[in-house]
Amino acid sequence: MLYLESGRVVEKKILTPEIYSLYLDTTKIAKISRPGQFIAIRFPFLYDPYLRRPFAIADTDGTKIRIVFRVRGRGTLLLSQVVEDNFLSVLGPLGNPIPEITNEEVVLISGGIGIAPFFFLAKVLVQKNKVSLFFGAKTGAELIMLNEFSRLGMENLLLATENGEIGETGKITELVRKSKIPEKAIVFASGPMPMYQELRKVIPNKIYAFFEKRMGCGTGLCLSCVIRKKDGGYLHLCRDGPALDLDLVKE
Amino acid sequence: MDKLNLSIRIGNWEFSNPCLTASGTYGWGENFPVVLSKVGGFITKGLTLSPREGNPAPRIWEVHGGIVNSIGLENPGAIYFVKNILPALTKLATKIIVNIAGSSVEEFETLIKILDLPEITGLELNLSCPNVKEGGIAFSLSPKSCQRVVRSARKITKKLLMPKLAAGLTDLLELGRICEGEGADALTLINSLPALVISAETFKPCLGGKTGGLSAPCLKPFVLYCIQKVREVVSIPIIGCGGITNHYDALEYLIAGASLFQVGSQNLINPFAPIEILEGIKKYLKEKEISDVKLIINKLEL
Repeated sequence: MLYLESGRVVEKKILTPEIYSLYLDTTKIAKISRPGQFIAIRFPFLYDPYLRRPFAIADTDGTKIRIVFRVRGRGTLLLSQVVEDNFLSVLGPLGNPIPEITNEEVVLISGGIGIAPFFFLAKVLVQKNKVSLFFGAKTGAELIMLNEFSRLGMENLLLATENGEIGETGKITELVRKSKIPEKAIVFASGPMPMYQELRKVIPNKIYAFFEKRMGCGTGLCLSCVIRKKDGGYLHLCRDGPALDLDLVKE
Repeated sequence: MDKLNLSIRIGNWEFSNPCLTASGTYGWGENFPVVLSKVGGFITKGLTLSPREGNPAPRIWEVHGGIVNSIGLENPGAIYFVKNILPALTKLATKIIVNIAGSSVEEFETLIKILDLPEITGLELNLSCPNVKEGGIAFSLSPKSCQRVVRSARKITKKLLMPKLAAGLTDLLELGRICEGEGADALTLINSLPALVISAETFKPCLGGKTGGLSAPCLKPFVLYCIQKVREVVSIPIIGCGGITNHYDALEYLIAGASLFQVGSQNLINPFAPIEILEGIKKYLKEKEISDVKLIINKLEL
């Protein structure tokens, strides 16, 4: 099921000068959203920018959806300018939820704004699993939502910053390498491509990685959001993802 | 007021309303059956004889007021389509039109023979895809190949034949006259315009397929111009395509001389757009006390 809703901005938070958080009142979409899914937002009545922008569902309470995003281009710049009580056009939920997981050790590895889908994931996964989060960013300020993560009751919260402000100094992949990730742990990763390439080297586990691509529709109509498959052809991120078995991906 | 009539007849075919979904903007019809059952017709993604995996990413690039796409005709090939996709399409309460792209006259002929099936209402001859290399742009843009393709297609099939023409680097009026002369039933005007997006940082094209096709609202005034000009030189129906975002756009295309219209890029940002546009047209006609949509077609006062 898919809904197109007019979502009122009920709360806006400026997390850093470049990272924002919005809570959108989208009752129908929120009610059926599952961890791992995304929504696609556009500005009503504007034709420039034209396309929707995809955002991971960072959290939901069943009536509101939270997104967190970094300003990267004109779409996110405009989105960073909205104020409370503005309305946005929201399409969703899109993409595949992560499967139901129970009684497992789950490891989440995030770099930078890749943290976006992980709050909702962690919130649901801690109910029936042992969850650890590795979270790295360039600076301490970019380790966003730390208080909220620490209240979830995860087994471990391991942090790294490149400037050494919080946690280990260096990349999060280095911290992952030094830690003993259980062989049977289910690993989700969300961050930039170089982080995935490094993760492949430092842990043998199967990795389900969240991807981002330039997306046309988010609904499987246009076939724009392709990722090269190892065995030839393409995966379509909106239909097959956004989390993909990293072994299937060639990039 | 009497009951509102939205139906449009093209040759032997009666469309329940003038709204079609444009090729490549509604996938293979597997999503949103509720929408597709309400439109006059569904046009498939471009189909080729052999499967094609399509172009590398990025395949879409947003520009001001529009998009440039370079999908590269990703499709599973004609045989797979007939066996695995068409059966599900026939369950939709709408007309099925297959968009076909050959790289030679012979390939078009083979495709038409494979698709000359009762479930299929019409064939949109893609004489203009900006995103394929084989055959080269020279094949798809040349009046001579246009003539040969339409002529041999007409010999093979009695189905609704609607060549989709390229504008920008062609003489659209000449192509239109040729298609009419060779027995086309209608003309789709226009395909996405050939386009190039490059980066001053890298000195390279932004799209994986290098060049692409420009579509969406920025195209609308040009498409209106094309419809109006071609309307003056051909008498077969015109199907307006490119840049429709709302019912006013669609109405303007009909007024400029189109008998049907296609909703394209707008489906990507709102998959329910065709329904909203049809509802908007009904409301407009009721308010103006116009009982039949046909009464506004080609009524532009110049």
